[in-house]
Amino acid sequence: MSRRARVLHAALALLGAAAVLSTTAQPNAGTFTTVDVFVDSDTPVAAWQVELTEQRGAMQIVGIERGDDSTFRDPPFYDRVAVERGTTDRIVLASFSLSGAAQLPRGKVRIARVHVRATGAAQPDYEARLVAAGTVDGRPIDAQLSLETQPGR
Amino acid sequence: MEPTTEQPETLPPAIASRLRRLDRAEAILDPRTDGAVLEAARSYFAARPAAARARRARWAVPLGAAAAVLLAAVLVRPIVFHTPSADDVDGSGRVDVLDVLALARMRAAGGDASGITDARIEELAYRIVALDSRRAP
Repeated sequence: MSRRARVLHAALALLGAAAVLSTTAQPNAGTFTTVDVFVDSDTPVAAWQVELTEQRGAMQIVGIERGDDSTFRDPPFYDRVAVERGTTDRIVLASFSLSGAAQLPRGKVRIARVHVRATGAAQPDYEARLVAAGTVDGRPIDAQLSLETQPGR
Repeated sequence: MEPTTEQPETLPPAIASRLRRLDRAEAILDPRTDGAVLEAARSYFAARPAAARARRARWAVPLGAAAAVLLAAVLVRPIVFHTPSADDVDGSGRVDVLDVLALARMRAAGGDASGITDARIEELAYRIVALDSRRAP
């Protein structure tokens, strides 16, 4: 083997080792997605409780924000221990406002935004269920719930 | 050696006792004696007051039924008459965010006089979103 070939082989070996090291040293950053939760109701919503589930059984929640209405608590109530633990298959969100009916949102309103980190190759499949929603005087209302996901980076 | 006198002493006591019982002569009962005893028993029980005989049967059935109903009521009561939870503030039968809202409204209306603290409201709010209901928020 000529000297030039030996140098070429050594360079290739170094490049391969560097590539392996770079893939093992850096954790898979994954992709980040925001899941917006909307409630649609003709009656002003003073309180809501939603259960968000990832159908494949695992999601890593990295942040939870309030929705568009600033009279509601930011962030909504959620299980902080479960979120800090890492991966979970579901999360329950809830919030309420003591504002008057005139100040409360009606129609289709974003009530929460959940930031999720996706690590797998498959597309996440989210499902939301409205546990409860109520008016200013605490009367239950049958509001419509919907989700919108937006891919991050 | 005399086997007739020494052999019974070597038998176990249980066998000796059984042999002695078998050796007893059975009493020979005349069918007429049986008939006389039967007739005497019939006439004796026929002479007892009818009310005394019926009283036991008349009260036994309702008393047993009442006991059964009472027992069933005690067993079923927790299922049928569900004791409302202290967290079910609005009395809907379930604990959710509407109970938190009800607490917050009572607190807002009554202030400290309501006896409801912000900590109590927050504690209930975190409990309804807890994924593991056994775990404290």
